[in-house]
Amino acid sequence: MESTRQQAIDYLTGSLSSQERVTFESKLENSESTRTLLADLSDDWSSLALLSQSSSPDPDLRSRTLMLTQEPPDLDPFLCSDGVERLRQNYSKPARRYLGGDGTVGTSEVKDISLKDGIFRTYEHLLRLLPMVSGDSSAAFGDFSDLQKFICDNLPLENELGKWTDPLLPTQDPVAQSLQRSLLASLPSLAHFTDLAGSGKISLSEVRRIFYLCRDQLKIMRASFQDLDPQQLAEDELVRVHGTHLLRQKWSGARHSFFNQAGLASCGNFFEGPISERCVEFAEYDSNLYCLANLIANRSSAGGFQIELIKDSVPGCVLAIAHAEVDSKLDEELNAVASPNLSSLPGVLSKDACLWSLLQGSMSRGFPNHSVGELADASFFGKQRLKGETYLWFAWPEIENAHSGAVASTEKPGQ
Amino acid sequence: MPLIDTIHWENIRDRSPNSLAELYDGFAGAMFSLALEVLGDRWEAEEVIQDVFAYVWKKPESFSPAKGKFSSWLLVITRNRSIDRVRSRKRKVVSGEPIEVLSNRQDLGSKDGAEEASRSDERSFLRSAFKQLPEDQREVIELSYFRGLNHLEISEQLQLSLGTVKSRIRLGMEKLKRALSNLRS
Repeated sequence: MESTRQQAIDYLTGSLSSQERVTFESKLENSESTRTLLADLSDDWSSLALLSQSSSPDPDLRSRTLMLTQEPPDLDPFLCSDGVERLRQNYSKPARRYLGGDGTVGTSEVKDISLKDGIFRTYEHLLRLLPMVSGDSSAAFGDFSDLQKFICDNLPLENELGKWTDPLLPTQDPVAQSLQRSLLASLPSLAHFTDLAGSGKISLSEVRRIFYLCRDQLKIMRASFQDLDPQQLAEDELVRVHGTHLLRQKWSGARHSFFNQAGLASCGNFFEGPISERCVEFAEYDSNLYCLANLIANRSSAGGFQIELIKDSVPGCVLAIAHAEVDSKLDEELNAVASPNLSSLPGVLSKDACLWSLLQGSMSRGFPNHSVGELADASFFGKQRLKGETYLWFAWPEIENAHSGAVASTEKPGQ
Repeated sequence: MPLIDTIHWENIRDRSPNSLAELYDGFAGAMFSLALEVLGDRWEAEEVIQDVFAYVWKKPESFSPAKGKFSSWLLVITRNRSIDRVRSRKRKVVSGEPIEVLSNRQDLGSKDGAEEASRSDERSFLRSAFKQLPEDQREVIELSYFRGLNHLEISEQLQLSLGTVKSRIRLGMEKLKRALSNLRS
């Protein structure tokens, strides 16, 4: 029989079998001397951390971390509002969760050759950009020279955007929606930050932001065009549970830009738990959140907006909410954008109206047993104003019992 | 170790103003360095730090002084979460591949701060003591601590018996403990 000291070392190093672990933990409960021994060994074991090369976290991490101590906003006015009450009365979960594929089209369906080329060119460009901004890249360790050179040597994404975005009109045509989702969800913010990187005006936190945006953009494009990267798309369709922490990490304290209007995101009430079961479903969720963020970020009076993920307030679903204090004139714009009557919409709001129609399209994929009109009437998604605060939201079916399977994390490309 | 101890945990538990900021300023650097060493990925290391701080803030009762020093507990959690991520990558160490665990990278984002100055003596002393260990002991400790391999995995990797792996880790740790005790006394 091994000594208690050896068992404690094995316990600390994760080398006990599950049965041995249970036995040792029982010993810990009953023996003061074993607890003292383990605490002592744990101190020695932890001192090995000092062998790590000394590195300082980005100062931005401090502010993001300390956001934890801020009291989340009081959402009761919103959660008790007529809109959410209507959702409570009408919500029913779909017969099956979104598995991907419903909104996707083939690139051959894009008739304009230059647009089709642009899709492939942008995707390949982003595939090359991703490793240059990943957590083990030289840019992530403060040397931005390779990244800057890469961006300067390649056509700016803003140029690609310029080619694609004229004209954009709200539509439920699947080809146009796939194009618009690829153009308007995460790409504008990504183009803004890569432009900054190209001009050398960049910090670590912005490199990190480019990483998340680039990863999401690739995933959204794959989900939009089924033949763009079939091998990776097949991976995206596997069961892989995505937790709300992935959204918190990405959005907490993030600067977000939509065509050069920027806002600072913060995370308010965020439940902890799974939110989607596959990358393709997470791409829908991500895209919807980007649409809400794009609509609210540049209209916030104070320059900031909050994202909330609420579970249990409406049984069976998770509410994703983006809200900010918004001037009444700008709020009127959002009323026009969210209106079913788009004939009188001013041209300058056409991109915003496209974002809203993208949300509508996604909701109809998430809840295929309802029409978009029914979903809007029942407040599965919507916009409302309460005491100077504008709220945009969408509902998504909660995960009651997560599939056993892989768990998504940052380092896996495309997740 | 930096001067982080039970009082910091008590302040967090009691929701004292600035308690999380004080803990962050005193200890995030050590936690981040460890997470980065294990993961080799800055964004993932930042995520681990955010996760650990969120855990400490939301569930301060997870620690109790009976578990030892608060600083040690924080490092154990940081390491475990980092190792979990490494394991989820399903990277396999190929037998016979040269083993170089501790990094030599240059972090241009790294700055010398007050925390670093107070820790540097102990750090350099430990590094020196570690270098003086026989190579076979260093190797198993590195694989265990920074790669998160368990004894069985190390024995397979290095083609050693389980008993040899265990004794090398134990002997190496005992030598380091003696060296650190001498420094602290």
